[in-house]
Amino acid sequence: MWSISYLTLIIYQFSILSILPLYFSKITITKKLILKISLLIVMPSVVLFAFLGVYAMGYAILVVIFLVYQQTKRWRNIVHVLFMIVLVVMADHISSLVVYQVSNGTEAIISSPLVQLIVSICILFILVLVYKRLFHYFAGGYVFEQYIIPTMIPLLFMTIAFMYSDIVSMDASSFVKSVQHNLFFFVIYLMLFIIIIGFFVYLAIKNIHIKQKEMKLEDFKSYVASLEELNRDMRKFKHDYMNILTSMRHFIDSKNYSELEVYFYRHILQTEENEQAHEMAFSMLNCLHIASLKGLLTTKLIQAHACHVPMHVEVVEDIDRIALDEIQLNRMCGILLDNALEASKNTTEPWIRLAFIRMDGVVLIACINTFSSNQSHELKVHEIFKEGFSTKGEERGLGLFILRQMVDASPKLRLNTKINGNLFIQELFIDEEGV
Amino acid sequence: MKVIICEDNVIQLDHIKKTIENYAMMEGNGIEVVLTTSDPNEVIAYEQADCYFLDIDLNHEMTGLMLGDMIRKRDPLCNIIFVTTHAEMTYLTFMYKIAALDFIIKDHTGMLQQKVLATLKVAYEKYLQIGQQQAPSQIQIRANGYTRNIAIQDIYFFAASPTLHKIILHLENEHIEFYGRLKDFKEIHASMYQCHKSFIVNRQNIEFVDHKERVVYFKNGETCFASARLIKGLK
Repeated sequence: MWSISYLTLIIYQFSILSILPLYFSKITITKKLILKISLLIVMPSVVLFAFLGVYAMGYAILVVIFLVYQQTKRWRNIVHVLFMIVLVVMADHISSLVVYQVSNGTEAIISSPLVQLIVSICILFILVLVYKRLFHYFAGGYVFEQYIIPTMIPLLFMTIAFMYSDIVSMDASSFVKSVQHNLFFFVIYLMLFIIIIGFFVYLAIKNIHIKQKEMKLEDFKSYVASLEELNRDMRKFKHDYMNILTSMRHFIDSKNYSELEVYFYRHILQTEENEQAHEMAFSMLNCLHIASLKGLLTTKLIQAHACHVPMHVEVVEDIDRIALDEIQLNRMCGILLDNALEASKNTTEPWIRLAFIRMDGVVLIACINTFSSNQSHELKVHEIFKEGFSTKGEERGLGLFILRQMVDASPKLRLNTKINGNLFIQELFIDEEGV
Repeated sequence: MKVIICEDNVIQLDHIKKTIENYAMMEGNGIEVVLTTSDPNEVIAYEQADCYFLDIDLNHEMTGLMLGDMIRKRDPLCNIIFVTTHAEMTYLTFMYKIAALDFIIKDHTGMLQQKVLATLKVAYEKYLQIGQQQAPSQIQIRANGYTRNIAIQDIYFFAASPTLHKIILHLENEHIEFYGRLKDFKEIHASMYQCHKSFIVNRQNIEFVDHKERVVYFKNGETCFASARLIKGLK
């Protein structure tokens, strides 16, 4: 009772089910992979189909999901798999209806699977294109990855279960009618699904914006606080000045110049240098006119100060805008500095130098720090960006990996990294707009 | 080698000038101070020199940074050395923006002379090198705000960015990212070989090739992939 064309239809269905998700997951399709697919998915599914009917789909789905996740380790690709199944089923239904309409109700043509196959491929192609567009539209940021995908996967599973339960309970005697019926429900269901997901995305983004605003405010607060402290220091210094002068008077009166010299160099010059270094660090921020970034840098300056790591920030020319989303910019600077501080903290000669430099059509953020080079193993640049790399053991060091990802995702950003002896040098170039 | 000194403190200006002139007289190697001034406009008006000693704080509406930037734009090869009291704070800016040769901190008068001479010698050596022919096996990487000459033997591999027109050049212990198309680098040298859609490797720095797993291992422990078709070219 199984005609050849019917078999091709089934093989086609399973193959398309496995190939499409692979395409979306950006897995390069090699000969080996095709062999794997046909041996692991297509052939067993076809055999299972003979015994179990549509339930064989369950097997195919699980194996494809496993394969995709194993190859890419990204949850979003599972969503692709599940969506593809929904689309394939929909294309199938629509093609049935189209063929039926065209053939004016004679059911003879419907049972010719080849015609249906071609129509179904065309429709699937259109659906996939629409899906690709929609997905790109929604899945812009990492918000999507973190919040939406996990909620989507179970929902999609339920959708598919629902669809197949519908298909299984389909009445063979009134085929066209039930196809119509099913399709109607699927479309409604899918619309609802998209609306709900859209709403979710909207809420999640809003939530994140609020959180980031709070962080910005927090940074700014700490900047103000440190300015106040500086002000206090200044007042104290002014007050001390008189004392210092009177103490010097003592040496001068007694004409004890050699001791005066010692006193001057050891005590007075010392305090002034400290004072100046502290003051300079903050005054450099005056040329930076991005309030939230200023706040972040202040926080980091204070943090570095607390860890006894001298940190210099250079902003020689006015920088009033950097052509990058402020939140992203702060995040990147935060990663650069956190990493620098972490690496430099425990060295014999800790320091961090950060510079914002405006050049032709580009703003350069350069960050240099010392780190303790391990004698037994010389650190290499390519090891640093590996996910989870850290000199401090596991579960850390996500920062630089994220930084690399952010740079890769934007055409405006370039990141150079260099290790030179015990210096770690990162140069982040941000193109100005219109370049 | 022509030297220009621009410094607003006349005593220090004179001090640096004498230091350099004494050295030049003793060595007799053609180093010559052609202009000493405290007015940056005079420096710009003067046609050209090979080595500049500039004060950062010139007491003029034009700062040393602006002056250095102008000189650098006019002559990408000259040596620019900054003399300053507070270089500590803006070291990187001068390095990146002007590619300054060095900084001389004039706070410690005793050290000044020594430091000026040491830097002068470095500048002179660089000046001599410019005259000689450049090594032919070099490529130049250019991007906004970034130019870099790299010797072929330092290149490990080029990797294309997955979606955008960016390339990351991998050196032994450095990654440089710039805009470009990978195929433009296929022909730069005989030892370059494209072993994958998104990788061009330098044969000189390959440690070994795993033909079974199709992975290329480099001397610094880094790896990249090779495609089934193209790996055949890597023996």
